Amino acid sequence: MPKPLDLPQGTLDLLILRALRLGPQHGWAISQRLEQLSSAVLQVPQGSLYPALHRLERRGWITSTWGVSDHNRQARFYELSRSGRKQLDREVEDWQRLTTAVNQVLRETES
Amino acid sequence: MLNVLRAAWRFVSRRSPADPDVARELKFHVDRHTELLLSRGVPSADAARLARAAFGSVDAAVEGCRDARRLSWFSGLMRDLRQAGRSLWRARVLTCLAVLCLGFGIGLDTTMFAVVDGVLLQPYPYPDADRLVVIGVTSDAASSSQPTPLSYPDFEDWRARTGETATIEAAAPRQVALSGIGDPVSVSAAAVSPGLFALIGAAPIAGRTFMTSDGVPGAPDVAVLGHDLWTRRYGADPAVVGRSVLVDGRPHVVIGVMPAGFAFPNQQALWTPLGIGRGLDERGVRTLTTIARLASAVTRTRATQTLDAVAADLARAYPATNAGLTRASVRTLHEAFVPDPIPAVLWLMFAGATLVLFIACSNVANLLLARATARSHELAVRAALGASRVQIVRHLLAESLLLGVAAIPLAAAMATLGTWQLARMMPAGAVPAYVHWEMDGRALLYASAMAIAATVAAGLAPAIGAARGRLSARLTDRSTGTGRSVLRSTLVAAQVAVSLVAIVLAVLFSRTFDALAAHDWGVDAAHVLMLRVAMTGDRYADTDARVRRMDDILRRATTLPGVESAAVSTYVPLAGGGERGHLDVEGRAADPDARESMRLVGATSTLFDTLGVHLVRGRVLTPAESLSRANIAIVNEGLAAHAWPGRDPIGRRFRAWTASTGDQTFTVVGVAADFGTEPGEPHAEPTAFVPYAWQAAPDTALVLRVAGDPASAAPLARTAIGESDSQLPIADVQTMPAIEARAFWQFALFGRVFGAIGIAALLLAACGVYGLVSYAVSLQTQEMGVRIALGADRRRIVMTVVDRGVRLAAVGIVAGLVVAPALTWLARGTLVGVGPFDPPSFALAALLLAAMASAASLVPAWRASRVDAASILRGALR
Repeated sequence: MPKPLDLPQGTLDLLILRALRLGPQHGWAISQRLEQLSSAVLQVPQGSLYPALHRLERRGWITSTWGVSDHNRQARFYELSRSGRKQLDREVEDWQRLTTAVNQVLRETES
Repeated sequence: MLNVLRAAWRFVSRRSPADPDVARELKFHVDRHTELLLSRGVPSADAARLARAAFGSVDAAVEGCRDARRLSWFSGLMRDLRQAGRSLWRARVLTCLAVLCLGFGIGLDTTMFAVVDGVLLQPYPYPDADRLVVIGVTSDAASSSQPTPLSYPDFEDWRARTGETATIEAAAPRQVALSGIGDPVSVSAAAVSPGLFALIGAAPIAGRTFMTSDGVPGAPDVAVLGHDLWTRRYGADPAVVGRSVLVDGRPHVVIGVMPAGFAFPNQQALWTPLGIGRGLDERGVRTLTTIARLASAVTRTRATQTLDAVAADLARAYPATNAGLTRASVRTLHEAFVPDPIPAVLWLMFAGATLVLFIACSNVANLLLARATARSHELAVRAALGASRVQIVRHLLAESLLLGVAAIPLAAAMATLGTWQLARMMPAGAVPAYVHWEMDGRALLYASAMAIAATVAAGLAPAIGAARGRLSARLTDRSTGTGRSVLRSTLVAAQVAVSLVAIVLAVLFSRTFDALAAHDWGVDAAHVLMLRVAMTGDRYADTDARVRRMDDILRRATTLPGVESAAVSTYVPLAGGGERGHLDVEGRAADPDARESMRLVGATSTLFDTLGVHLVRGRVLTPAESLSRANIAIVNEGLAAHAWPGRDPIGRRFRAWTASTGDQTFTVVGVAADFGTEPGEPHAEPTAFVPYAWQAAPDTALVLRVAGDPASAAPLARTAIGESDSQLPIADVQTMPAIEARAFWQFALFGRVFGAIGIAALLLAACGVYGLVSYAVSLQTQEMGVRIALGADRRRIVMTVVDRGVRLAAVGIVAGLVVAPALTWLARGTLVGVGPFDPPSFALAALLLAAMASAASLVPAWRASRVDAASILRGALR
């Protein structure tokens, strides 16, 4: 199995927003979901997830509420806000254009 | 300062207690992960450990959350500054250039700020100095002319009539001989009304100041010493208070010592009470510096109205002496003691220095713009990784801020040097003692504010430019953005325009200085020495005593070895003297308003020979006549041309009025060539040289023409005066060349300052043009290479590039030529021998800038023409 990749700075936000599109989740669930979604290629250090969550909340893209988890314990749940949804669309579009451009450059240099 | 830094560090490094919510949230995560591991069959002993390992540092996460939640502006700024520091360090050369540019510009500007602040802005060092005004009288007609001072009787009347509007006190500056302890010296003193010290709020550091009882006739003579005199002459001995010293030969008891820096009104070092005799009872003798403290509720306008009424009353009551003086002149201390045109010139210097700062600032802006263009990829990547536009702008601004902070020490060092140098260029006694400047806290504050404002201004355009535009475009596009290059060109053209203004001012002022230095004063000065004595006190109260003393001194001086000619005169060209009065020409209608002012000089027959001035007509006085009171005079060409234009003045008579002689009629026996003529004037001030006995003033000068260096004759001449009267103080000893050199110190100073500003502007603008052209060339290297490969002439390439720089400069030069006249017009009052719109000066400035632009473009052009076509082409094909 290839070594898991470190996340490029800035992409973590994108991934968190994407993970939350499926519905409100608490931090641990998000980390599990990211690992599953990326088929364990992307390695998210679990500790660094929380500063990112709090940063996104400060920017108003996600909101948080304390709720009860499925194991009947108190947990903080995060949910995508309206502006967060728009931000996600923008970032996805930017990302795709970036990767397209980068791919194009890479292909040209190889040929 | 250290304490503040320590407190700031504690604030930054402080770890606030963890947010309980965050701790709970993180604990839930670890617990949940532990459960997951347990459910996968991991032994319970290992599960918790593994879960914590997977999570990583809890402390880091807690701190990260805190930063993310309340990323205070301060910690955000610190992070930006750290990053900015790193990226500036990577571009060391550029950083150094920018800091040098800024430090130089701010240093120059701060120097001028310190001077303007010290001379014009800082309040005078007296409590509530803004309520203090200097009072004089003027006529209706000439509101712009110098106001006339009050006489003692006037002062008493004003005092009695101003009531609650203002408290008025007065000072009569005079020169006194101080002896008794130590050698006799001449000291600047002032007789002051007893309440003056209280009025301006000055308290003695030892003893007391005057009381009303000190001013009445018959009271014992008392004196107050200045701090400087006290330390220099009496070794700062507190026991001097109570001792007796000789002021003008009369015993005075020292009753107090004033603090350091107190020299009211100007340079005074000793004070006596005003009111005892001293010939102050004449209403026509106007010598008082009158100062008033306005009552707190009274505005300056209202005070002026009240005082106007008093002036009008007195003009009606005493027509003989006060006719026409119907208005009060109320000036602030600054207006009275820093007369026009000094403020205008100082503001102009400050403006010039600020223009240089603008040039330096736009150089930095251009450097940053060029860098921002080169870094657009780096910035695009930052944006791609999630940096918001605000963050990018902030990051770039942090870089400029850091540049500004780095420039502050350099600027402060430059300003310290500059202020010191400027202070050194001023002769002692040229300005009031309390006018001084230094690189103080205010100047440092100004420098810091300018540094930050300048760098933020310089950094704003590139920062906004970098944040604008679409990310993907910047990731793929390699073009430089035409909008930005227009901005850069505009900045450089503006730089050239501003330098033109600064250079024109520099040229005009150096031409003024040259004109003054080359001016012919009509005196053969090289071998002339002047010693002014101070015949004050009871022994010299009588005019005849002064005449006898000077006659004796003159006899002794004439026989000194090396002395070719010696004379006694109350007036020395450029050093002043003589008495102002009015002139009535016989045969003309005696209209009191049309009376012309003139100067009456008491001199001996040899004055003209000694100064090397030739006689145009008639004869000189005989030695016997010079010591008599014969009613004969030698007039200068200025008076002759004024009184009897086109006619022979010999044998004609005129009447002269002065305060000391009253009305006297003189017959003209000779006409002397003009000397001491002001530059640009056709004639010298109308002057009559009358026998010395008429005008034997206490401050008379002995004028000597010697064989060799005039300075070397000074000790012998001093000895001769000492042999005549060992108690006679010598107030001033100067050679004529030194007087000439000193006469125009202001213009020398203006010339140097504007010269420095002009050179700085030229150099900085050269940097600007060079930077822009070489940057443009660097973008076109490939094109140049291709052209050369296709056989283009290298000279043509050079021409193309130079053409670009010169065209840019041409735009700036034209703009500068349009703006400059407005500023030079402001300086018109201080220009001599050259007009404010002098075409050659403007042409010279334009030529200098054009040459500079060509030279600055030539270097990058030459580099462009040396491009190695082969390597460029290989690069292009790869």
